[in-house]
Amino acid sequence: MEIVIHDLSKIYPNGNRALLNLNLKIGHGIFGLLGPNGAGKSTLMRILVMLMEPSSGMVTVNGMELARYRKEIRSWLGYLPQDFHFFPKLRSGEFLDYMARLSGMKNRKERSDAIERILEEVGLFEARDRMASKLSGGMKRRLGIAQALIHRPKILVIDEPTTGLDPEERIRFRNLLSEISAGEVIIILSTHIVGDISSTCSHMALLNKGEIAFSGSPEELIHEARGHVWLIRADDEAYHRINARYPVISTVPSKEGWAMQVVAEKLEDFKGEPVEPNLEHAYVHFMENKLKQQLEDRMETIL
Amino acid sequence: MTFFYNISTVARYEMKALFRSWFLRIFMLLALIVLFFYNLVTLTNLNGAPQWKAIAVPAFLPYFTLWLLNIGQSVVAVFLASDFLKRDKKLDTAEVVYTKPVSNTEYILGKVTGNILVFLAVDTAMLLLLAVFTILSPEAEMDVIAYIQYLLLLVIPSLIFILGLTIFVMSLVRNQAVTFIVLLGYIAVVIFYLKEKVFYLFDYMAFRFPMLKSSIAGFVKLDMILIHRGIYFMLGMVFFFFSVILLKRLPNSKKEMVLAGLFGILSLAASSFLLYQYMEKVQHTRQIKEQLLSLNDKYADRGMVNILRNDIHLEHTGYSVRAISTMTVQNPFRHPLDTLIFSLNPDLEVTSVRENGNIVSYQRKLHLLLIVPVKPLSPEDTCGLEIVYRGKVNDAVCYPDVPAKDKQVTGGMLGETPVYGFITPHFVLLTPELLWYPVSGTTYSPAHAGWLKKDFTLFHLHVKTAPGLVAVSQGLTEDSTVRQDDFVPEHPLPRISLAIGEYEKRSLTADSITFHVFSVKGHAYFADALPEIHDTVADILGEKLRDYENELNMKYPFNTFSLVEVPVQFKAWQHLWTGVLETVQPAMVYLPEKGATIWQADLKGYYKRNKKWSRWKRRKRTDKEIMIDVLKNFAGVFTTEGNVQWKGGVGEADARETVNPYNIFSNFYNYRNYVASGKWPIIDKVVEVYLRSPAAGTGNTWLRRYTGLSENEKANIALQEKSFAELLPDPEKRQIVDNVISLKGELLFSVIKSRVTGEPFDDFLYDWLDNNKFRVAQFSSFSSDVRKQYNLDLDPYMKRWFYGKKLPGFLFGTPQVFRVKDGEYMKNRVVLILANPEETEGVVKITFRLSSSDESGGSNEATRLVFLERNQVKQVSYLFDEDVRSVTYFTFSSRNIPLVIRASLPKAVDRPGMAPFEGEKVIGWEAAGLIHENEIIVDNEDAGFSVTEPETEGLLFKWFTKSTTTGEKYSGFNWRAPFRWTLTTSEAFYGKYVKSAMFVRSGTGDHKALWKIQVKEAGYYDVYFYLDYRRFKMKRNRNGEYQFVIRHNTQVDKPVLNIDRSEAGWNNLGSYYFSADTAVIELNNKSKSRIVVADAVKLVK
Repeated sequence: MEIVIHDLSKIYPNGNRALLNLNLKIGHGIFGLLGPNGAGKSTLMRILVMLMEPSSGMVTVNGMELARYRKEIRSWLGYLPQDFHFFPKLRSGEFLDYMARLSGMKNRKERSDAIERILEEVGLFEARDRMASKLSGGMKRRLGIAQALIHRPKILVIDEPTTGLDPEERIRFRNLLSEISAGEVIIILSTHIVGDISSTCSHMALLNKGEIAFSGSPEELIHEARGHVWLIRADDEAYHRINARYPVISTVPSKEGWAMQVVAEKLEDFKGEPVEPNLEHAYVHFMENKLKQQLEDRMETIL
Repeated sequence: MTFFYNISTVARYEMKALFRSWFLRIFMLLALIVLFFYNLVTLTNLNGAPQWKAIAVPAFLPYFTLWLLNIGQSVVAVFLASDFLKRDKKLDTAEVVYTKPVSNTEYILGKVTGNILVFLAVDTAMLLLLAVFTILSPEAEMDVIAYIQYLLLLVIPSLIFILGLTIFVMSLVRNQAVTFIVLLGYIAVVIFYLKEKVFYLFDYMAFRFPMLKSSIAGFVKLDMILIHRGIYFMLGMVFFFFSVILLKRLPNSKKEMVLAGLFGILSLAASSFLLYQYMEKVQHTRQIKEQLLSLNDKYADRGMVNILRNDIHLEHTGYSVRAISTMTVQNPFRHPLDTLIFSLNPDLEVTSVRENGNIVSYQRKLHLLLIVPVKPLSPEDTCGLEIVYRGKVNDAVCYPDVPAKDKQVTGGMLGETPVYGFITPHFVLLTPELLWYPVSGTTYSPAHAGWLKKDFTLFHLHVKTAPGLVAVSQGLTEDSTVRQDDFVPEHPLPRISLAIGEYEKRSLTADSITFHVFSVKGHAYFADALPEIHDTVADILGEKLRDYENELNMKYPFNTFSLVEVPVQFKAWQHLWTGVLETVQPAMVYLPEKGATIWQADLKGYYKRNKKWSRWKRRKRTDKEIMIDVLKNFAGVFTTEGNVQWKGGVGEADARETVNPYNIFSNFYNYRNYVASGKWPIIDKVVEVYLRSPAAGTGNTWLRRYTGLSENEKANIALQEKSFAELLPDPEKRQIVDNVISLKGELLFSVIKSRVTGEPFDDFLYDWLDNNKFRVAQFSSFSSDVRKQYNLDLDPYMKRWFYGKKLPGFLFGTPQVFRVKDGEYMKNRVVLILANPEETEGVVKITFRLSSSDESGGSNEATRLVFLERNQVKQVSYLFDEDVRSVTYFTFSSRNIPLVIRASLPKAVDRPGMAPFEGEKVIGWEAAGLIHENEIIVDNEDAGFSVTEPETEGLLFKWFTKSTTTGEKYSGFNWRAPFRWTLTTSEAFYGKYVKSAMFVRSGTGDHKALWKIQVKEAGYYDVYFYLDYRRFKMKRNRNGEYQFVIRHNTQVDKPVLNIDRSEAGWNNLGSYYFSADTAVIELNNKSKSRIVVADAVKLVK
């Protein structure tokens, strides 16, 4: 299973350019889409799940054009939107049955087993007869996950997967995704929570202002940040100067003052210990420094 | 198939969600409560007895139940349908569904199906509730098929249309509030404005579209019903398919959109086609009427033969008939006739015409049959004609003189489409209005007043129909056991009718009359309704008939009287030229099934209620006594004149006197006599109205308190503008033509009666009619007989009566009563002064209410007629043994309003020496004392009178306080006190002829009435104000005062009149000096009394 995105653009009627000539290939496994708010992640998701048409470009799934084979591709899809609402007058079990039926699960026994299984997996079995409107925030989110997974989709698109979940639920969810990804399944996670990607994704892309800024594995992104992440122990006076000068990833108060992790090409005026970067560091490094560099290079080329 | 699977999935869960919504649950609960109590009241004895129409017509209750639910469902459907799109539009709400492989079409259809199934479930539940009540009710019958039929015809097309429209509008505007407002506005426009326009074309929910199903004939005009419902069904589908295209979701494929568009267009084509068919049928009826009238106008003035004999052989063949009419016709004219003109229903195809056995040529022009005899028919000659025809009947030819909008429905909401005839395999009803056999001449012609042709024909009808069906027509034998196929009426008749159905016949004989009841099998509810009087029913009916004979002073001319049950949709309208209604045929009355629309037909119910009332009122009555009352009450249906029909809501009242469709008067006159006249074509109707009048009296005079003017008064106002001859054909005056004819008829005969001496005129008239029964009699012959009997030439008077525009006007002096000695007895001598200052003669009927001559303390009446030439005053005296309690003048066709005036009588003065004179004396105007030279009177009708009221009232105030706006000049004078000055009439007011006044609710004095009086000669004058509050017939008006302002010379005086201490009539406000100028008298509305009346003021030098 492979999704190929070719020169995809989306310009809204108000002139807002949400996506600009996107090119991407997504294969099996969990694919992470990272980017700041307004980067175009949701737009891309909505185009992939055929809730929206692109302005130009093409998306194919296994060589099948999205625009021409909607019905077939929809039958492979599972989708969990960012802001998931549901039918408040239906019980959890009823809602899942509805979704399963619409997904093509005609066999009653098969459906019933699938509902039981998925409710167990998301920890909602006890709440199967509860009205969906009576579920807590986290439970609603889990219900959303359940409806996306119930029919064992080949393509799973999840927008902000762990919103509203507590840490235990998050771990559970990530484990569940990992289990699913073992088969020939494409899972696309769109998130601005780095932890979601670092713990599950084998591939990722960074989206910024409608363009792919980075595409590769998380390790590759981390590698780029190696040598550019520092730990600075600062007093109160230095704290403010560091904050003003460098992107600060974390600040931990200590006996000597502050232990600050910063990202920079090189440190000037301050002494710091190099830190082994993680994905969060790499993201900040990329967004703050790499992107700036790319922009300057582009400006130079233009001038 | 995945298509249906997906639709059923979406529908299933839509239903689940809807059933759990509070909005629907409230609707269901309300429906349950309302219908539960409605069924309880309608089908049980809670209200004394079950409601009769619901029992008599089994389809009525499911119709009503679903009709009511349909209204509520429309509103709820708009809300729910717009709601789901709103829900789905919310961010991400439906996105999880939209990403599924379900197509847009499946999704929309699934949603709609879910909505429809929810409502059908509610409807089914309510029908089940009704079924339970019906089963438990001992009287009610259940028409199970009707339950399903109304679900399919009434509910489903309405739901599909409104759901489709809602979804479509919501798809366009994408705002639930706007959708709601637009759709509710549309529903309101359909219900309150468009109403029945274009034969209910816009009535998508069949709110007014009549669909009542008869248990005898089923649905009538079923083709129109199916087309009408089909239009909305298909329109709903159009909206669904276009909503699929408009849905904000990427379709599964372009093919889907193309298919949706294609189906949408096909549905649109289908609904357009149905619409075209509907309009065609509506127009066709209109076109037939126009064509018919045009043809009648063209041929009405050609000579028409008399039909002396008509033998009809009719074979009933399913939905059509085949007939042979063999006639003997005669030329009554002095010139030969080269074309013989007949009218026959246009859908009856003529296949051959023979004259004296020889085939002759003929032409068919719509309803006309023009036969060209072998040689012209010579004057007075007869010939035999045989006309063979077959086919159906088209009721578009019926009632061309009745406006279409008046004919659309009867029975109010949930009414019946009026139908004028039936030919179905199980039921046939053919009345002369349908032209089911050839009649001589044309039908109604607006251009020719003399178009009417009536024959008295010897009929012989032979009927062949399917086994199990019974034919009923004139000429029934008295033998109740023999099935009759041959009908030979005992007398020549002007018409014959035919009913065929699954009838059962029951007969009773009383005196020389046999009463038959033909009821459809299973409908003999009356057979055991009154068990206590089973053996005396015939006697009671016979007695009732004799009472009516006495009332009319005429004898019932037939040997039998039959009641025949017909479908509830059968309707008769009244023609301009006759009081005959198709519901009443010679010796026969057609009653709706089980007397559904006649509450008196509910024998058991009325008996139960009567028994209950007797108990409440603690009156001891036996069952037998009550049952006799019930039967007499039912029999009264056939002898009562019209009813009063009210229209309008709170604050408004308009009433009309309506005709009783089952009154059998026509059997006494119209089917027995015909007075023909080429010069005065209306004379037959005039005679008819006159003969009815003993039963009718002077009409509903109390009605004018609510409507302002009685119908007769409106007629008189019309007669001041146009002559009788001009008014008759005027379509705008249709509503009052009956009253015009009635007034002119009474006037004509009263004038005759007042001029003749010797044998009472009425006796002469009845004898003359009796001698001319069952044949056409000429008015010229009547005129000649009157001349011989009474030496009175009617002709000169007739011209003025028919063509004149002037009306008399009557003034009445103050009555006097004297006790005088007449021989050995003291009698009461009443002296009256009557004057007619106008340029044409007139007659006044005076009714004296006398105390009863026995000990009972009751009263009786005596009437006298006084004829007044133009510009004449008479003093009339009458002697009575009894005390005279009151005198009432009825002025017939005159300028007087009101027409009926009661005069108060003074106490009798003893004058034993006065001559006991009884008679009339012509006196001079001075002696009459009616006009006083030294008086100046300004009435509210005069130019010097005006009213003022504040301009500062807001629109809202004006809307709330609008006066009784029936559109007439005069409003009713009753307890409703108007906020603005309102013109009204009453005998309590002053007026030369028109006794009118302005009245208004009392207030702060900002409403004023002004009289401006031209004073020619300076001097002292007594000022009078006219008030006779005791005749207002209203309580709460005697307290308080009227406040005046009199401006005289340079002074202002403010006299006050205490109402309770006022005189009846002119009240003195004081003596004032007026210069030779305009005097102004003002009355304001500040008073403790409820109303203030501004009438007339008088200055006396």
